[in-house]
Amino acid sequence: MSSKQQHILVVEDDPALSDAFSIVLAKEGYDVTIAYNGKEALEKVKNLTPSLILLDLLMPIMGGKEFLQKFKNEHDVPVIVLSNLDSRSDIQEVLDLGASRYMLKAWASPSELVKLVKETVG
Amino acid sequence: MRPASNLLLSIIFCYSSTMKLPTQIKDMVTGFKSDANQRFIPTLMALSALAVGLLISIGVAAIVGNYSHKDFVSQEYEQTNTIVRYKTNNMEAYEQLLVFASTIYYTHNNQITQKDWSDLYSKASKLTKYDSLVGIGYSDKITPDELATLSARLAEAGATNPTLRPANPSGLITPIVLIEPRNDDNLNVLGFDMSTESSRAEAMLEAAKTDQAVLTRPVKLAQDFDSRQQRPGLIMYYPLYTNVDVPESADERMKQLEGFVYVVFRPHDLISTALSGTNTDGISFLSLTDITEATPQTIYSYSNSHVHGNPISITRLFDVGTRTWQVKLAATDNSRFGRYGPRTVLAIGSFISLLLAALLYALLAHRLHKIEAYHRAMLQKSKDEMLAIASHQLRTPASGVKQYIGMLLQGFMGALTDEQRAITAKAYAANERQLEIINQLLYVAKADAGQIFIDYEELDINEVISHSLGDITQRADEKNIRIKRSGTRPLPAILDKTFTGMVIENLLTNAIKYSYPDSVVTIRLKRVNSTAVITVADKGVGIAKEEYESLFEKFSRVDNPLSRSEGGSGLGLFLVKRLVEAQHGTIDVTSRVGKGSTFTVTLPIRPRKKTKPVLLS
Repeated sequence: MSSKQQHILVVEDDPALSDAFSIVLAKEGYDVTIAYNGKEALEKVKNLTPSLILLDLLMPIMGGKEFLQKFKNEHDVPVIVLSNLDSRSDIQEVLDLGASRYMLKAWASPSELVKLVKETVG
Repeated sequence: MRPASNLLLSIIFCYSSTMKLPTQIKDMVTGFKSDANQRFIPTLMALSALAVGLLISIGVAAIVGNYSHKDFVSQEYEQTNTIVRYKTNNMEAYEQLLVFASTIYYTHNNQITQKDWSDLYSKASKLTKYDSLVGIGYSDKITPDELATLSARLAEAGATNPTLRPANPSGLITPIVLIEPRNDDNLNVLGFDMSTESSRAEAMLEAAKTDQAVLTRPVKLAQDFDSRQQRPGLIMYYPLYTNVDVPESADERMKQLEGFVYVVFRPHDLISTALSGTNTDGISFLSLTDITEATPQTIYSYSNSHVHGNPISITRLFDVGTRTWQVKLAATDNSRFGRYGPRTVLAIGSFISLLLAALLYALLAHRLHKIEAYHRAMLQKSKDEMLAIASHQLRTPASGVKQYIGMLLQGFMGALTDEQRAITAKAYAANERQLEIINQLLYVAKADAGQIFIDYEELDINEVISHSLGDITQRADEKNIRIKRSGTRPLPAILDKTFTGMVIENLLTNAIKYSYPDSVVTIRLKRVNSTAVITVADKGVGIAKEEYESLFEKFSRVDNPLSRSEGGSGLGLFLVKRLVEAQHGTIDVTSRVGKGSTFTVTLPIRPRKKTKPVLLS
């Protein structure tokens, strides 16, 4: 499958950020779907199997950790966590829950994000 | 420290325009005022307690004093009673004695022999009620033709000088013809014509006219004429008549007067006896005065100037036969209780009050301090929380900005002109600084709130350095600064990886920031016994010695002449120091202005005690 057909699910509650990620990834040829919290994300994956999920942690209704827990039980899609939480314990927890990579939002520039996505799904 | 974070907080809130600055300032002022409150309220309460305690002590002392005073006064009154009673009884006793003596006279055919007198005296002297007796005597009224036989009579009675004295009498002649006890002093007075002395004459006349025992005013006794004896005596006369049936009129009585029997005594002895057994220590003045006539006559007087305090004075009047006497007693309560009682109560009371006041002060101060500390902690906690929340919330839009400007800068929106690129780069850099500052603020807030844990793990310091270098290469390249590295052997240690990395990265970033372009920054790692030593040296602008100390304080910033826009939050070195010290390490700086600076960090290779996470606070 060529990268041009890859679908990415962006789970992020801040609209400015989710739009930004969406724009950047679209520019790189990916299809992007946005969910604003964990619950919405779970809904979306019922009908759609993304190649990659970009997951924020701090979200209302259902946060990233809970989503990850529920999602990873049934799916094997790579998840990149994009968060501002930077404590070792948080990072470790997330990795234990099945996330492939962890990136600090505050330090991720668009090109770095793209680089990471390409590394993970091609 | 705290006011600075207060100020920052106010700036943040102004930024989000939700809080007014004056409220923050008011908080600071209230905080300062409460320091004074901490002293004021406990002091006030303690002083009040002391005042109340003292008042109570004074009250109790006064009551005690009053009680002991009343007790004392009644005791003193009782003493005067004793004197009066004693005196009165005494007078009665002497009167009885004289009446008895007169019966001897009457039953012995108007005669009293020496033997009679001796017998009488010997019986009387055995009785304590006659203790103050100086003598008991018989004075016969003599007619001029009886003068001749007088000397013989006197000699027979044992007179030292058996003559009538004074020699040439006129009017009534009443020499002493019998006297007991027959000591030298008394035998001396035999022959003395008592009518020649006015006080005696007056009393005798009174007795004769009224057929009563009559007391003289205080007199100098005949026994004392030659001596320097100051103590006066008293004489009680009882008349003897021709007939035991005494006539009614004074004139008739005078006609039938045959003589007198009398007793002589010193009231001084009387009083001593009367007061024996009572407490006489506190007596400052005691007097017995005959006030029958216009001029008072002292019978007995005693004063003691060594008695302290304010004496209480009691004056009593009482009748002694035909005379009126006054006893005046002034005494102070010399008892230990009277002297010290109230004072002791006051002293003890004051002491207890003082103790209680001190205790109260300590308790209140402690309590207030605790309350104060609690409120401060609460206030600080809420400030920290707000700081953390605000910083966290700022992060999100700042991250958003990074994405959009990053898109422009990194070509996602097409090529930019050089000018556009330059401007976008500046915006991107400014945003990066924003994010850096927010990051540091959050760390500081967490550190202040005690929320940062040192997570010890096994690591290789060399690797951590490599990683940090990777993160800062871009910045170094921008200024064309070469990073030189020495000591690249692995150095295993047990430290917090994240924080150690932060420390190294911060030092490197600073070194680059304050370096001249095209220069070198050196990072050196070596091991000294069980300590790892990391040195970061630059050849940049340097730091003046005066600024060394404040370097590691919050919000301190060294002026960077290279580029004022390169300034940071001022939190970097503060955090670095905290993170280093939390891992039981040290940080030092040496520098020369214009030549460069060298920061030296030492860290123990393994933690001193256990490898449990340590709370950074």
